[in-house]
Amino acid sequence: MQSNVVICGVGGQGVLTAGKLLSTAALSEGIQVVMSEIHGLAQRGGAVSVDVRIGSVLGPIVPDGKGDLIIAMEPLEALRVLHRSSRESVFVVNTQKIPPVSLGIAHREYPSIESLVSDLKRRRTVFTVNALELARKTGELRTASTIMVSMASALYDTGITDESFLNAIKRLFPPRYQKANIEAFDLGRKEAAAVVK
Amino acid sequence: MSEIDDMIDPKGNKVLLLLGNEAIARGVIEAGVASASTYPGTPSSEVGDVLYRVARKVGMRFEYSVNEKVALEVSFAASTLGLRSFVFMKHVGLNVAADALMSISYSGVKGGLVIMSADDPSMHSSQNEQDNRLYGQLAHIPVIEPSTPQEAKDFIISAFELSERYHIPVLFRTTTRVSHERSAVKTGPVERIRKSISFDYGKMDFNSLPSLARQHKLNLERKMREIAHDERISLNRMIEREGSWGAITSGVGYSYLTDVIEEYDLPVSMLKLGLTNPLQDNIILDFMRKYSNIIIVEELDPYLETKIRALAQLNGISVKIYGKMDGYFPTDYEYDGNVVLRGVARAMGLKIDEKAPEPAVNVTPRPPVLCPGCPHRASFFIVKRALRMLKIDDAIISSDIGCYSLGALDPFDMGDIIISMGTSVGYSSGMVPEFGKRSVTFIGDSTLFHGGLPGIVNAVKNNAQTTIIVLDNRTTAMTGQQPTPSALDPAYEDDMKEISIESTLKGIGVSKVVEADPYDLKDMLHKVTDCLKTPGVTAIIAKRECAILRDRKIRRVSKIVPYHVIPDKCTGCFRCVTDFSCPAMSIKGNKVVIDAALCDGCGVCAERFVCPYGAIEVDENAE
Repeated sequence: MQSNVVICGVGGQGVLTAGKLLSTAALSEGIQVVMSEIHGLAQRGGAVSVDVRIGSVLGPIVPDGKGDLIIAMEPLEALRVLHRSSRESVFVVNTQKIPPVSLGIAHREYPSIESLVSDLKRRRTVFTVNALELARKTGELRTASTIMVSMASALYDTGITDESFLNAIKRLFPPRYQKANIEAFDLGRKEAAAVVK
Repeated sequence: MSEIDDMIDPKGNKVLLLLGNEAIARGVIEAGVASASTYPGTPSSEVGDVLYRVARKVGMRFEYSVNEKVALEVSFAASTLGLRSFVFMKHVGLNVAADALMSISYSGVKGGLVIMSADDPSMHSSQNEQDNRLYGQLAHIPVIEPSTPQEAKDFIISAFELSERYHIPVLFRTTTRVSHERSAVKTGPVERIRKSISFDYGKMDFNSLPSLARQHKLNLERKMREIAHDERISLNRMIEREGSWGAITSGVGYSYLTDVIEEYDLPVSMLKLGLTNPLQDNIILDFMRKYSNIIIVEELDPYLETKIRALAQLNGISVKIYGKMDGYFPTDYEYDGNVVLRGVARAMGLKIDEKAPEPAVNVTPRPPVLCPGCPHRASFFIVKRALRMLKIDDAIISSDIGCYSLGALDPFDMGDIIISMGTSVGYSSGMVPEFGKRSVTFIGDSTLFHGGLPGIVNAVKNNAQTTIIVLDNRTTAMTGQQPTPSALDPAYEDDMKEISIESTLKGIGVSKVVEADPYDLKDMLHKVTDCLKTPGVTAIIAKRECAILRDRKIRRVSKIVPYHVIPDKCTGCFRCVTDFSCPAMSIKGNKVVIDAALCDGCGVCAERFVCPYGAIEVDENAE
């Protein structure tokens, strides 16, 4: 089985952390994985995406139109990577909006989340969550990316077990953040169960 | 075991999920390297992030040097003492180091010396996408190109063996997608660091006087001929399949090509080159004699292609070659699976039924921006205001390489000139009285030491007309907060000496040097206007710690207290979003709001220069 995952968002939202969590879990499961990261100037508050390819491929970039699962940490960013997905793709979208600075300079307002999501839903299978609000429950806002990975991997089967995700959390996060992230993982799984009902 | 413990584990034999650059750092540790040096630059920086943390633990000497040329010279010094040494940088860094490199290649080395260049096709974080394999050709030194993180680690060890066998520096060339690819790497055992130091006095091996250089050149060419026929080198690999087509590839091109061949089950055998200078002719000739159609897959310049076409011609081999020179593959930007598939399909005349992906939707662009709390935002805001107040509308804004390059974008438009490290001041030294023009120069603290000092000397000497704003955020921010000569890491402070920017500028003879805190807008404005009114070279050191560093420190002990907009006081003039443009601010209805999750609590927006109505206040009740 092969899955192409594109994780997108705004620099600083934990896009890299989400990618590392997914790929570390895949490796812990014994599945071949390759991930592509972006660092440096390209990261500063701009649009960022990382690609995680699970299964037997070598090329680190998901070709356009081949993304199976899109994890979007921000709604505008979900639309920005639309061309990287196909009609069969599953989108899991965090509804936390981060207005680009250029909107303010042009005296424009961020479009309504409802309009963005319904635009996306006309084209793709879409699940939404306000991961930032959920993350508040863990006492650590930065667990939003863990919630997104947890929810997405429940809605789109990557062949990775819960146990491997928990191993990955223990490996990636320093001890003082592990509890919050394990809690975030549970919240993500529960949210996934709730949205498919 | 933590990630760091695994990185220095002497036994190895573990499968780790490593970034290409982390794999290189592990390779350097496994190779028993005694000395490593660098100037940080994307996409090479993470090698340093690892080595900086572990060097002392494994007994390696590591330093962030003032620039890439000095970094190479430091590693060369260690090599002349017989130590294995490693120097790494981004592709344009090698331009800075090239002067020394072109003669170190002639003189040769004693301890193994490997020079890593991380190229950046598509310019994700760079000002150009030069193909540094050509430096190997120019310097007559071996070039090694890995394709994956596993190879990146393994090939580092081979690179040191090659360097020591022939006493020649070796260029280790990666690209963004190899350096920043994360995949499984099996570690090996760590070789003990050889620490016996000796120098061969009187031997003159490392002296490039013309009479000696003439001899060095002949030696160098002999070494390269021998390497081309050295059968102990196992960096090139053949992957055979049934069929009459062959493909020659290197670097990340190999990964994309493998995926295409396997997905479409193509009758294409591959010759994957890990040593791309000198080419091992015999292997390539055998391959060309076997396959009458050859596709060449390499990013950027037709480097392999030029050499392979020449080889075919010289040896009278009749083979059809498909590459960049005949338009099958592009010479610009990085490749991906789609680019390689299109080129291969056209060359082979295949009809591949690819559903064209939907075109990209038109979404409001989101280029990178200065972070919330970034002191540079305050500096740009004030300089723009000062220029307007003094009615100076003809100053050329000469900026440099760093996060502050983003000041060139809306709303600050501060970047008429951005070329290369240090060019801001070199350019401004050309604002001589004869031309009657003036400039405002922006340069960061790390960039100032890297390549700015000669430009400042020249500006003072020429009596140029410029005000230099040194954006002193106490770190090399863009590449991940590495220390600078004027802001040492406290952990290493005892062994080093900090350099003062103020005394340096005063020593050179800058007529007015003042320090200011960019967060204090009023004081900053006063000092900037004063400098702009003073003839000659003046300088303001805008000193305030990088917001990322500051936030990290605050989070360790308490919480960030954000600011908010009092709706009743906000008149909807939108001056804050249009002129100050902090990413935490946005428009909602006819008011401005601040996102508490993004605000870093710097409080600069609460000053009257940003909001004349005093509508922005600290939000003590925020969660």
